[in-house]
This record gives sequence, C-alpha cells and structure tokens, in this order.
Amino acid sequence: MFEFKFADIGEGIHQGKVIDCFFKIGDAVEEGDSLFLVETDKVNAEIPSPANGIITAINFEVNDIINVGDVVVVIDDNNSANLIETVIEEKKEEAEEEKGASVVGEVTVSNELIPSFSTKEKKEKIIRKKSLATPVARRMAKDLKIDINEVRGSGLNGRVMKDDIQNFHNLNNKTEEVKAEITKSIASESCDNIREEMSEVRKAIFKATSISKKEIPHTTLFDDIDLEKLVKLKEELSEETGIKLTYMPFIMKAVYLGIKKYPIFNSTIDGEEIVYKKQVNLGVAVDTDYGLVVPVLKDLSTLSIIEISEKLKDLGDRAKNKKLSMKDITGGTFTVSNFGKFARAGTPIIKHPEVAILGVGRINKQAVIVDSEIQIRSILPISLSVDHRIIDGADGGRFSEEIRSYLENPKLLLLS
Amino acid sequence: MGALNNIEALNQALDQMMEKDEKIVIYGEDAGFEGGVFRATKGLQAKYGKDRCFDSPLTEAAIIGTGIGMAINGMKPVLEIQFQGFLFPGLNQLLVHGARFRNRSRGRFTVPMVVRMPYGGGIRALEHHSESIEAILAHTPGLKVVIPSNPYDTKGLMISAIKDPDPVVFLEPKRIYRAFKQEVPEELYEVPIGKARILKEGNDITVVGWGAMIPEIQSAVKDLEEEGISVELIDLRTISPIDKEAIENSVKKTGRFLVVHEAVKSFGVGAELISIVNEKAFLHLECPPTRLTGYDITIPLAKGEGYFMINPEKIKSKVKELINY
Repeated sequence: MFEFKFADIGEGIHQGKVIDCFFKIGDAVEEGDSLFLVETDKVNAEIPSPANGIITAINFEVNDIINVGDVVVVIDDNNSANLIETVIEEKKEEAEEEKGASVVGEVTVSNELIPSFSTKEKKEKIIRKKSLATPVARRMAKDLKIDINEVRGSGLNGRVMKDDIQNFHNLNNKTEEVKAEITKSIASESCDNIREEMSEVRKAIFKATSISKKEIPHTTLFDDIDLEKLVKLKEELSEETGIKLTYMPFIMKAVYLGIKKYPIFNSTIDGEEIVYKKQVNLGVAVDTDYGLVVPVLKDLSTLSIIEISEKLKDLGDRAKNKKLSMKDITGGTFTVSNFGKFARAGTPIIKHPEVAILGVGRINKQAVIVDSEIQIRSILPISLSVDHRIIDGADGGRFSEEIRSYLENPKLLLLS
Repeated sequence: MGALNNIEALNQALDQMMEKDEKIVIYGEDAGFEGGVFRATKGLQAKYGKDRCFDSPLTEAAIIGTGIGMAINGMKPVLEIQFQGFLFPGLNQLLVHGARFRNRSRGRFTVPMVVRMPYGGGIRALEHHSESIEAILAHTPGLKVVIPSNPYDTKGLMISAIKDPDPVVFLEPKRIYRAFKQEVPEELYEVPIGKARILKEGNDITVVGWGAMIPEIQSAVKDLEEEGISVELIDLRTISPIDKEAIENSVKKTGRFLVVHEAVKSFGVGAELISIVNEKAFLHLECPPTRLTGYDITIPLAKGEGYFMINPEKIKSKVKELINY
C-alpha cells in the first residue's frame, strides 16, 4: 500500500483547497496521472500520482482543505513492505575477547560495536532563524511573557534591544485595549453585518504582506521620469513591427539593466549574510478578478524588448485565466508593480524575501520646466520601496537614476 | 574493513606508518619488547627491529629531549609516555624547547614529533595515572593537542599527527581503549587535525565533549531525545587548535551551549570554549554557555573516583537545566 501524503508543492505552501478529483475508489492509476486539482495560494495545481496501482481510499471531498502531510490518497501498489516496519537487527561482530593490559587500573574490555563514520566530512551549514538579542532583552521578554522571535529589532542587523521589547509590550497592551473596545462596538451593532470567508488568494496576500511589513523595514523613494522620448519610440516600434507594445517591457528592461549595475537589488538576506542572485527574474504584479498575482519572467539576460513583451502577454493572459503553474509564480528576484490607471503613485510592499520593489504609476501629461521653458511632457511617477536593513536611501536613488537614464534615452534600451 | 577497538586502531596506524616511512622510530618505557603497558605498540619491535622500536630508560625528559633532537634532524619520532601523569619531568623539554623551535628558529627548524600518552580517569587507578591535563598542553603555543574518542578517529588522527610538521601531543583516553569496537578502513586515511566532528545534529542545544566523555554524552543524548530534547553533539577531537567555526555555527543554530570535560573546572578548556561562544555567538544565546566538568581537586583514588567522573545522569540534568533556563 502506498500512503500518498500531500506535499508542499511550492515554496512554503501549507494547505490547499481541493476543487476537483479525477479518480474514484477502485480506479487504476499510473505514476504521473493527475489525481486531483488543488487550489493553493496563487495557482491551481494538478497533483500527479506518485505510484502505479489501484486507489483504495480518498480521504477528502471536493472543496475540502487539505494540509501538507495529510494522507490524501491510498494506492494499492502491490507492495506490502510499506506497511510492515522493517526491523534491521544491528549486526554485532563476534570477536575474540582481549584482556585490557595495564600495570594499574581496570580498563573496560568490550566487543560492543559502535557505528562507523563516512570518510566524507559534512559541509552543510545550517543556520536556524532565531532572533538576535542582547541577554538583557531576552530577560525582559521572558519577564513580560513576550515571544522574542515576534519582536522586530532596531539594533545592528535587526538585533532586539531593551527598548524594542518595551515598545512591543506597550503597543500590544494598547492594541488589546483598542481591540476590546472595537469588538464591543461591533458586537452591539453587528446584526446587519455580512461576514464572508476570504478566498485562498486573499489569505495568501494577507499572510505575505503581513510577513513583509513585519519583517522588512521599508523605505520608499518617489520620483518622476520624463517618458516623452519613450512614448514616441513605442509608437514607432508598434507601427513598424505591427505588435502592440506597452510601456512595461521597456520598464522591465531598464530595471534589468539597473540591477546589472546594482546587484544588491537582486539579493536576499540570510541571517547576517547577503545572498546575491545570479539570475534576474522579474515578477510582475497582475490584477485579476480573483486578486493580485505575481507571475515571474525568468532570466532577462537574453531577452529583447519584443520577447519580453510576448512573454508578458502570455503570463498576463494565463494569470487572468487561472492557468499559471507553480513554476510561473516562483523564483522571482525583484518585482515590478504597476498601479496603472488606478493611481499616480503608491508605496509598494516588498515581496518577501526580495529586498526591493518598483511601483510604476499612471503616465500623465504634465507641465514641466525644460531648459528654462515650460513644456508639456509625459511623466511616469515611480515609487521604489527598499529593504532599509541592507539598502539605504542613497542606494535607492542611484538605482532609480539608472532606470531613469534608460527610460529617458530609450534607444539605449534597444542597444543593450 | 575490520572492527577494531581504540588500541587496535592505534596499533594499526603505527604499524602501517612505520612500514611506509623508515624515518619513524617509536620508543618509551616498555614500548619495545612489551609493546607498552596497554599494548599500543605490540608487535612493532618484532616486525621493525630494536633500532626502530625500543624501550627507553625511566627518564621522560630524555625521551622528549632526544625526540626533539631526532625530529629537527630529519627523523620522525613517535614517543610514548607511559601515563600522562609521568609527563611532568619531560614538560620542560616539551614546552620550552619542542613547542618553540619553529618560532625561535624563524621557521628554519620544525619538530615533526608525536608524543602519545594514556590519560584520564575512570579506571580506578592512582592520581598520576588518572588526571586530565589537556589545558596545560593546549595553553602552550606551538603544540597541537589531539584527543580521539573512537577507533576511526584514533587511526586517522594518528596518521595526521605523524605527518604533521609540528609537535603533536596525542592524548589517549585509556578508559575507552578497549571499551567498544568500530569498523575501521584497512587503508591509510587521515582525519584532519583542527576539525571537530558533528556526531549528531540537533536544534535545542549544542553539547561539546571529547575523549572518554563522548560515550557518556551519547548515552545521555539518547535519553534526552526520547524526552523531546534535540541535542547537537560535537566531538571536538582537537583541543588545539580548536575548531571555532564548528562551535560558532552550531551555537548560532541552537542558542544553547554545554561543554563537558572530565578535567578540573577552573582555567580549563571548557572556559576557553565558553569564551569563544561569547565572542562569536553572544546574541544568539538563550541561556548562559555552561561547563560540566570534574571538580577543582586532585582526582580521587578508586573509592571516590565515581563522584568525580561525569556520567550520563549529570549530563542530562545539566542539559535540562539549560533548556528550561
């Protein structure tokens, strides 16, 4: 019998909702056949059978939530070994007893066999994520019954200091008071309220944004970029190629070139180390009927503007039709968020564990001063949020300037 | 691959290295004809002759002094001090001369010499046969100090010690000379000096020990694991130089640190390790880094030795104290 446990199919997924099942008890399945369809954070994934055999149990119904580790399906694979615990007796080698030679003392003599070693040394380095904190802060946290791992540290490298514990304590106590008041007022007027459970996607956004805002000290830089030349170039290229281009491929190419110059924007933080990612994979936030999803455009190093445009369109279409795979939404190293027609600018939330995000707003015609003259230009507002733990405002400014240099001289984009 | 105990693994390492390198000579009190009081050099005189494996007079200062002379002149002496408590008359030679030649000759001379000796308690012997003085040796710059805890490491570390260009003191925990066996490769292999071994990975606490303490800790860890406490067990293997990185990485992961040694408490290796933890992983600590050691007394004779020695119960109790700190 093969007990098929629902596994984490992506990065840190804990549960999913079954939205379809393709087999019933008694059906024969082959390894790789799709067993059921599960809606996870942002994609619908078909889960393949890990074994050949006959389905003998299905431990869920459509619309059930299943958790990672649950035995979801049992398959009779004609192998009883999985059910029988294999007992391997430790082989003890018989050897001739030897007397512990010595002029003094009593040396223990035994033929007990202890496990041997491999000659290969282990090289892996495992660092568990626990808060950095001064001992006095730990003591305070203990006295105040605070889980120190929940406190964001203001010290060097996120070190939790005494003041952080005190602030956390004060804030939480206030929150409790406020919560109590709010609960009371809602309870008294709640007869007409409508309650609705959040969708899986909303829950995922809920969780991801909370983690991001809790862990990452954001700082956001705003700027305006003159797109006058790009507007013209885009029109010319659209006309010449017959492909309807948007501004996004140009922006993404500019971001890619910015990252090449300032690779810290394509990194993650691991403990006290910065991990620079070799490949640039840009996530693009897409607004859909079912919520915000972020498909990822992988490896921009070889892509032209036209190719970026085609890939973006494909990802966008598939996002809207719920056809994205787990592969499409994972592996991002930097994200571009488009406020589009809805807002001029905003403060984008960094997609944890990335370290920066670029928000692009609505392009407006604005009166600007060029060479001491007032001119009407197409202006793109941008907002760059950075993880202030490793990126300072000035770094963000330099990165924005790099992006600006390409978008204001867009022919350079075609050459790069 | 055969199952060997520590003394057999040691004998095999010496035998194979003597066969390979004619410059190796072995001597010490009873090390020749008798093969040493614990039989570590058994059969070597018969196989390699009285010129390469022989009995010395009862004179530790001369054993070490002549060893230094041989080493700086191109030989590879592997000296046996019958019990570690007899080392003291030879300490002047070892610490004042052997350990300093490289430095004082500005690298012109090195002393490729191994001084091996049984050490430690637990066999109901006299105090000079039972004490643990690794800290005295490790405190001396220029000396490497190695302590194996199992047959595999015994063979590999001895081979590394013989190949090492500097004087290596090879301390043998005699209590476990013949206490268990382990599969040991037939061929020559090296266990690097200065590298600790993670015997078991865990998340809640790092416990570091060496020599005869390792089986005691392993026994405690087995019980602790059943109670849900996940211990990372590190066998230090080399007292000097200490593998600081292994200690640092482990404590950063677990947040707790306990060092277990049978030597007396004050001014010991435990204190050194705790200093390393404080310097390297202070902000990760969830309780004070702690040592569980022998007491600050001369090691008791047979009747009282049991009170002095570390046992699994003491280890379990200390680990729980730190987990619940």
